[in-house]
Amino acid sequence: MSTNTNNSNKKRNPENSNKEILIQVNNISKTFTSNWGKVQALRNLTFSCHRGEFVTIVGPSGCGKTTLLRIIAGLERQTTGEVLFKGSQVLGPGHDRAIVFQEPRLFPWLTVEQNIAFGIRDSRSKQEVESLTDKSLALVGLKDFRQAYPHELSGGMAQRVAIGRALAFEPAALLLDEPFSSLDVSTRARLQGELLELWHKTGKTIILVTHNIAEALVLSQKIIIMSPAPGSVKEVLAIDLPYPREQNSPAFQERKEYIHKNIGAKH
Amino acid sequence: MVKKIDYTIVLKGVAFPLLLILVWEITARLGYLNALFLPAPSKIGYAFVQMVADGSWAVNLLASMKRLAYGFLITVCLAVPLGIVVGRARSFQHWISPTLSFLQQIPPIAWIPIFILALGIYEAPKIAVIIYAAFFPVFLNTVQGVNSVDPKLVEVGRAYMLSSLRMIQRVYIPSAGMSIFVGLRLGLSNCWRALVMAEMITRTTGIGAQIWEGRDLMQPDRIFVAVFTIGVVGLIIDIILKRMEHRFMPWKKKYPEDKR
Repeated sequence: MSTNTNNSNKKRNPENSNKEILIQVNNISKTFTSNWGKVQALRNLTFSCHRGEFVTIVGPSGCGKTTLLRIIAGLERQTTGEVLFKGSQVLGPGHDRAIVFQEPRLFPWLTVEQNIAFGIRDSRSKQEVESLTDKSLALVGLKDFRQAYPHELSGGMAQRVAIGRALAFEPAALLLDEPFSSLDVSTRARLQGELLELWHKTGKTIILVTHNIAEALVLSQKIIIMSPAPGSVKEVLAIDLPYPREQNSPAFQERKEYIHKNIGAKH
Repeated sequence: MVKKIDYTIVLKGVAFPLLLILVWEITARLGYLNALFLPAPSKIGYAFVQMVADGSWAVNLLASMKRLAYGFLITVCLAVPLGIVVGRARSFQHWISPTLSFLQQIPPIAWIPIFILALGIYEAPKIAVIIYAAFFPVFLNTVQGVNSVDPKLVEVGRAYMLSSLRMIQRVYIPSAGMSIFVGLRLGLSNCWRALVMAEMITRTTGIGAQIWEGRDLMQPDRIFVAVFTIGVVGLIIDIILKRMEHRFMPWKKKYPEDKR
């Protein structure tokens, strides 16, 4: 079923078809073994993501979208299927991918700049670490807070540090797991804008997981709609609206309703 | 970094012992106290000046401090790495934790005769007692610290491809740092107390030996000088460690339950 929708979508999405495929998810399934027995979290997921593309994975909570992202990040192993990054199999975490978690997960004993340098301080030269850290600090707008400790930051700032830490790692792809879900509405909107700006500036490939349909529509070029129990790809939707997206426009509303209906259908 | 000192609290803390000493001095002078075991504070003060002048105070204190330093350093070098290793290998903990709980019940002083039989009466048994006294708090707090490292932070380390050695250095040790530090503080005060006992039993040099010497020579004023020295040194060590804690762990302010 999922392969069908995927095929039909490829026809609908011609502008990316000549671009290089960066991430290819092939027929992924994941089964967890819990105390109550085996639970299938993901079933036969297939989709791809082009270099420089902004993709969101949308679905109700519990549909396995976080698990999917963690498999792409290499933090978890799929039961069957494969994830290809630039054509080679993902077997674990890599220098080409960086994940931002739902919580900032900053190290409380490190300052903002030390947190940002966390992923690179052991593998790069001192000058490189400095320049990458500076660059990241500028990108996430925290130059004035470089000496601050995480407990001195607001939730939005902390998540910006987490994004900065991922950027300093210089990955080809940024993987974001509901990064704004714990923030208040206005902070969330601001960070969404900043993320878009960052994407335009850096040209990174971004995969973002969210349960917020409006967020997916504001941000992404491609939306992967998942259905739960077990998680599978319901539809892959190309969003060709120009940026910045006007949330009140009929085109935006029309797509929002469409996705709503589509997600709710199996509820 | 270091919190502002509230002087009224300091004043109260100092005023109380001063008051006690005053009452003690007055009652001693009025002849209510037996000078054989409770000499007047002024007499103790005089003995202190004498002991500083003849060098015996500094010699004994230095002897004790040297042992303390050696013993404590050896303990830290043993207990912290061991605690990190054991803290990460959870199944190993099931093997050893009953044994450790058993050993923990035995006060260091109970081992002193065995240590003396095995190691003689000079430095070795004293250092052995210190190591024994400090090992458990340092080791157990390190294990606990490593155990309670946030797995979410470990995962960040994994996502950024830290090697296992770097993971220990960058995630485990700083995470467990506070707990390790608590262990060090407990361990050091345990060390100090155990050392005094060991010195009293082996009776060679050191503050503990000085106490016993005071008894042998019927010099209660000298005993009090030694006893007070133990208290004051212990207090100073603890203050220094607390300061270090604030200095090395400025993020500690984050934890609201710590209101010292």
